[in-house]
Amino acid sequence: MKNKRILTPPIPSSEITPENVYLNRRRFMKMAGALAAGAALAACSPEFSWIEKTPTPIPTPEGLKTGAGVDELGDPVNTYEEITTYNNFYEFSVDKVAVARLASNFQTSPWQIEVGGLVNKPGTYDVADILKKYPTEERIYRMRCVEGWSMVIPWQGFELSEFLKDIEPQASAKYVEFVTLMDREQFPGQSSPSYPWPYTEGLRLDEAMHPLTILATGLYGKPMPPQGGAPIRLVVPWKYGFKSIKSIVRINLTETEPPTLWSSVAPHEYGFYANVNPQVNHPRWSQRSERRIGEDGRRETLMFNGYEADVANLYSGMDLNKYY
Amino acid sequence: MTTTRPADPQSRPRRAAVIRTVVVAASWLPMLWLAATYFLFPLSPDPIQYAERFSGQVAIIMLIGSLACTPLVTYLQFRDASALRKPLGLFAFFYSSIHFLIYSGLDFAFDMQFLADEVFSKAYLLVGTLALVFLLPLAATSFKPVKKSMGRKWKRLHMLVYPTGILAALHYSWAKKGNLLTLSGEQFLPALAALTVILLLALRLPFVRQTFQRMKTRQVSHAQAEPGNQADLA
Repeated sequence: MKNKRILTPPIPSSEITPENVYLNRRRFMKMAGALAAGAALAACSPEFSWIEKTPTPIPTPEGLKTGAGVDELGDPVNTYEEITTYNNFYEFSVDKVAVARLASNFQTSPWQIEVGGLVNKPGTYDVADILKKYPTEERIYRMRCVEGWSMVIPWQGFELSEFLKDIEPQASAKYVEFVTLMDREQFPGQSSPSYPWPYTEGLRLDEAMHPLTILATGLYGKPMPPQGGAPIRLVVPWKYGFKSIKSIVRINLTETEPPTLWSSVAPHEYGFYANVNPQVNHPRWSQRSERRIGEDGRRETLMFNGYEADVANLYSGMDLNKYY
Repeated sequence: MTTTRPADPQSRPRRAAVIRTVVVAASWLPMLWLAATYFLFPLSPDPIQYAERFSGQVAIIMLIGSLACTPLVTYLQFRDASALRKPLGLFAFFYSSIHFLIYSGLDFAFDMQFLADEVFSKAYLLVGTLALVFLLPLAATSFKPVKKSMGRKWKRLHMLVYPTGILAALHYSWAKKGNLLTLSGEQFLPALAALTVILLLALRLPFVRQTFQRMKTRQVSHAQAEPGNQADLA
């Protein structure tokens, strides 16, 4: 990507859009985006189940892929504008409102993922090839941020387990480590000394193999916008949002629990598991309740973000107050 | 500092009144902004969070402004500032109350069970609530007749404003990500607030003030003894 930018001739200043025109255009695009989102919503219908899927050990709950514009609890998806103008992506900014603007020129193609560690098929995988190989489907998931707010998001993606099966984890592999791109030029936030960049996250292998865990490449039926973690990101709906690492460039299978950015910055606040759990207190944010973006007041936060029936068995016998 | 020595001594009260009016009028502007960004043009899909943060920041600025008045008078001879202490203190109380109402009313819909759980399980909410509780008696006794009737007790009671400043700065810091002591995360503004409060508190300590006074008189006497130094001081 760096090479590509160096080869690009400098843009003459006459070609640069004046800021007021640019801003107006942005405003127009914002409106257009919202309209398109509405259209996409209207286009979604229950017949969406044409998607063919390979059989998985635990069946995906039916309601999660209806494409009906509501999650399986009947709550409507958030608007495209809400989803794409308000999110954390510390590589760009700690200000959730500034992320979309700073991400607008992010280069997401070409993009490779380096696969390594305890796998039989390590190597460099091109995202363009991955997209061809694994058909995506819509998954409407709740996204619960550790900061106490939430959204319902219609992701476009495929199950991580399909990819993991193809790279063949070895018997000794117990964990999956994910790493975000490191690029200070594109990610101004990576110049902040407060965090040990690049962003790293991890899952236990059985969590990674769970059918709810997806690699997402789009939302609202469209390619992933850069602020959403383009071109490819993790989505683990029963965990706090920070587990769902964005713009992945490396996947490693390991025998030991990989260090993760947030749990190394503040281990007492963020555990490795980070399952949504209203019983485990956080020093700043309410974990008992959440503000659904677009709503007034608060909702009670659900155990495992409402996916308890699907994932609780992953943690049977574990003390979730200790392994938070 | 020519401003401290007006040519016409009669103009001082008038100027103080003008400054006071301007400051009071300006102090209402954040309230307008708060209402506008909540009701008219939300700046993000989560306007409640914005309102919570903004009202809290304004409250702390008002509190620091109020704390800064006396040092401005005693150290910089900006005597007009003494008329600003009370309105800024009342605005600090006003914006703290608004901040509290946004949190408990808009965010938590006055769900007392929820709120009690939150306040007693989170240190930042405990110190924040305590700061507001401390401001209550200060606001209630800020009116002239009450002040007069309290006599010397008034001054002692109003010393509470300093622990309040420290609690407010702690509340601000603990509400943000990162660590105040290592300055990691999002602690720049909270650290700035904490340092300002500590500095303003230190300036009130009698020994600091006496040292400052002594240094100043020494400088003045030096300057008088050696006329050559006068140019440097001007």
